Amino acid sequence: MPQFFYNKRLMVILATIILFVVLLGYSLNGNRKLSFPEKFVKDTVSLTEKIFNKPAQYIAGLFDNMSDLQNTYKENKQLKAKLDQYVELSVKEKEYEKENKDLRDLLNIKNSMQAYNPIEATVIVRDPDQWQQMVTIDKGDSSGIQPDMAVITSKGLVGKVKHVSKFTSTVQLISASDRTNRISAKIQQSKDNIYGLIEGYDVESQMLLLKEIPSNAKVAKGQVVVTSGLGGVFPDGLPIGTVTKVERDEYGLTQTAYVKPLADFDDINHVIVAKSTIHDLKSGEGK
Amino acid sequence: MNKYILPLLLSLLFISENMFETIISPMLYGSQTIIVPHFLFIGLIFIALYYDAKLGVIYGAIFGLLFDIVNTEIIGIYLGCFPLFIFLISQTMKMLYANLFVRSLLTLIWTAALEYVVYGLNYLFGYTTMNNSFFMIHRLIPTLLLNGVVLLFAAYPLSSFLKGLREKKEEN
Repeated sequence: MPQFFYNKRLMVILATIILFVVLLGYSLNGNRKLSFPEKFVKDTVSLTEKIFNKPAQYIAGLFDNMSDLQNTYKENKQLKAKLDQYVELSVKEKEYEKENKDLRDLLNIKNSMQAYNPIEATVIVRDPDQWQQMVTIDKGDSSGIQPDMAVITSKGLVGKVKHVSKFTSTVQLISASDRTNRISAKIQQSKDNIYGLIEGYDVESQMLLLKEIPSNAKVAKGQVVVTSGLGGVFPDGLPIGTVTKVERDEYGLTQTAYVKPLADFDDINHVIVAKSTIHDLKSGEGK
Repeated sequence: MNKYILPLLLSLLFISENMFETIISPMLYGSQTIIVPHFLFIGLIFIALYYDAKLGVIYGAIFGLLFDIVNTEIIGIYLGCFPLFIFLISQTMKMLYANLFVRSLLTLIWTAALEYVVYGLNYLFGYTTMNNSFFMIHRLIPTLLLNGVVLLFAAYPLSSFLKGLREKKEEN
């Protein structure tokens, strides 16, 4: 037995194995916050990469512009056709907005679930081994970003903030199949909205899974799915995608809808972190 | 000067992986293909093979930890895989005499092994639900193609650069 302890190499190997298990166990905890050294390293590396990324993205942008030019004529035609509708819509929208505001004043409602403060950010790091679908953005604690905030692009919801350090924060995209990555969503209808949970992503068909839809709800193809705002952290009504397929789950108790995301997860450069104003109020009360 | 050149090289490879992700991968929009650059791993293997095996393992641990903290936030996967794999590679290479081509080919095979182990771990921890055949066709093969092409162009300059460094070190 004493000989065992003299075997230096074996002891080192055993110690490292124990260290790995401890580190893995520590970092697999879903609720953990980043420790100080992690935040420091992450900030330093991310900000260095920002310096490299800026010129590279500029060059890539030039190529994008060239391919854009080719499609300009066709797009211009389509857009002109849409423009007429747009004028009509914008007049209507203004009317509704005013009406909405008047009614709100009448009822004395100050905060809306839909209102949010946008914080603009740029993506600086994207994980190369795309298992966790993590993206690092260049705004952090110092810009008022907090965990669990919604992250959107101009097209729709892309993810939520997972960890925040001083100058950067990590966003987990909704295209991650992580079990803890859940978002409360609803299917918009003229009458009653149908509520469900965005839970997981089907890599093969590139669709989000909207689960826990009541079995008696009638979901049709092409309906729009938006965030419900029921979590309290996410603003209400951020577009997520459109329904393409509905399935009953294995026990027939609920339905699962396959949702085609509006946002393009591969091409995320500029994002907006949506800070719900209601959430702001709540955290203020908490302190 | 020579002391800092290897960490600098590895840092550049580390950054290039992320740049690849933010700039090249948008071009794949709409297809199911997932291409993963493993430039850092290739660089580490070459350091272990052509410069110093022990140093390769140490750098593997350092950059594995950095990779885990910055990219995945799960500490342990790459921190464990990089040094272990580099150690195994340097041990197997001691046993057989190999030229540059065979070594590059083996590097590619080890890259596939790394991909597979990381996939297995992520599957185990519930971070992915991707099935095996999808992984093989849409992720492993395109990844190996990319890294194979990169090896084709980088293997000779990288190995001769590292050999030169080693000769300089032995002179001193």
